[in-house]
Amino acid sequence: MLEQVKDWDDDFYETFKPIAMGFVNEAEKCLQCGKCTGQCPAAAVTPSYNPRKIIRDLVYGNVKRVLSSVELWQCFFCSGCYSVCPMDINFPFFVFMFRLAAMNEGYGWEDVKQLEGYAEKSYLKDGITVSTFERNPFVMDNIGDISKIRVEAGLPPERTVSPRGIAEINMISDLSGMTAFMKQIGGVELLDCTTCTDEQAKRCKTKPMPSKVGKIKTHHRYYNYGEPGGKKNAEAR
Amino acid sequence: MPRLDKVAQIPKPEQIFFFKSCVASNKYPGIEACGTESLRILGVEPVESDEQTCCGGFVTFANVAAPTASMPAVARNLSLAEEKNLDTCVVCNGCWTFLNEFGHFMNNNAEVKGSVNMMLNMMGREYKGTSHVFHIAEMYYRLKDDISKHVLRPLKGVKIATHYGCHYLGGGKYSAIDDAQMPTYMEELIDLMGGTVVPYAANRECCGTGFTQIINGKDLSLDHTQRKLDSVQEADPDMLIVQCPYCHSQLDRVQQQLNFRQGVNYQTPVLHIAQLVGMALGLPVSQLAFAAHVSGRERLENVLDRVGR
Ligand code: SF4
Ligand code: SF4
Repeated sequence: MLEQVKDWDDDFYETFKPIAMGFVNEAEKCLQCGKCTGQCPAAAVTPSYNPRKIIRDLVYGNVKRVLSSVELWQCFFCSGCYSVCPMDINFPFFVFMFRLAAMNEGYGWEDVKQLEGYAEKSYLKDGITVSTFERNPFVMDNIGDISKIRVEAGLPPERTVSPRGIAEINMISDLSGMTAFMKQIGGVELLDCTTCTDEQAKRCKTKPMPSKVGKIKTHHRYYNYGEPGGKKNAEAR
Repeated sequence: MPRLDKVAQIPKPEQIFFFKSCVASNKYPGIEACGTESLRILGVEPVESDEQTCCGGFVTFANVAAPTASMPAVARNLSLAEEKNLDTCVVCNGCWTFLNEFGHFMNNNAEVKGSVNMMLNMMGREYKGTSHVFHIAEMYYRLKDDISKHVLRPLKGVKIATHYGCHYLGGGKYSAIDDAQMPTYMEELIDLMGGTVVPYAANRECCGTGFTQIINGKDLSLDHTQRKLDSVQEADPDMLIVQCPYCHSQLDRVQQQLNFRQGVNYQTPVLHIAQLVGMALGLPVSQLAFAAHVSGRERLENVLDRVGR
């Protein structure tokens, strides 16, 4: 992928730093030692994922390769890389800001779209992100009514947030632009597989994409750092 | 080895703001019940507020909200503790790192703090940055002498493995009380309560939730959890102790999913450190709320038979 991407941007890193609100800094100090990759849980299960290479591409300005990659969305946010990094580079924050940048370019909306419900239907509605809702029949049969267990444990049957609390986080959401952002996510149009070329199909995530009419188009992402799941494919190219 | 200088900085307050966690409240109520009750026994009165919302970490790291939206939400929650003049105690690694790290960010960035306060002032609140955030596990370590005085149900002969989780030790490598690579404080606590620590190879591995990977990168997530569980299974502990409800839910629920998908048989009960301490301090079995657990319930009953109900 590296050779095909003619989208080097020498200034990207410098311009990205202020936009990223101080979350992305000191990447130029990276020693390329690879300790981060060595202990990364995502890299352990999918060898094409490599935080070291992503940092390299950030500093060198090979933006397109990072932003259009599937790998960017495979980070576990575990901070393990930060804990071992000799230069104290807080890489999960990079990923976090990078994903926003990728969305700005029209990548990754299908992932975020799946998660938007948690914000809209749980966090902003009840003030609690993880609800008591269970989808798994085994769990439902085995646990039954969680409010009964809560009462037995000496807690109120339901944990609730006061109306004032909920009003306040909604106000914060409105004021900070989160509500508007969520509306945008709701209106994403996902491309479907029939429009792919063969080359795209080969590199595409196997997951079929749902399609929906809306305002923003989401682009296909690629395994820019090697084919997933195979060591021989994960070598540097 | 715990950093004793850090531990010494943790106060032993009379009251503390008990920060409720979504997963602990809605999936594993035992964590909430044992957390508050055990603190009470150890001489720290937990103070709750129903104005406290979720920490907002999940929606932020799901990229549904930019930090501009989550900072004021963090500040608002912390201001609730500040209004009462209390420090904050959390039961979740995620809440801990999120409140701690974003709090730290605002405290050292006057511009951000100013704009956050502009928002909060509109609802009659203010963020000052005076409430320190402590994880309940570090509170336990600080109060370990009180714990050993109050053990009513010694965990004699119970084989216990630990899982620290990523966001406490890794994400907060300068604020946590222990080393990110070789932590030992939970082992010390288990020792103190009479349990037997069982080492296993993948102790420092992530639980595999990967924040959102369990939702939109399920293969990666299950793969990684399976590695972890294989290693746990090999050591065959009576229970696996976590200090994060999110790890708790992953390690507990994924066992059943893997059993179903792959015809394997993982049955290791997973307990939060608050439940383990609650068990040792002799809380009634109903307060431990094991009924909400998915995996290894029989084994848990067996443990209860041995340590006394
Ligand atoms: S561990 Fe740190 S210095 Fe080493 S390659 Fe990773 S980010 Fe760079
Ligand atoms: S935070 Fe992401 S890149 Fe860093 S070790 Fe964890 S999964 Fe790997």
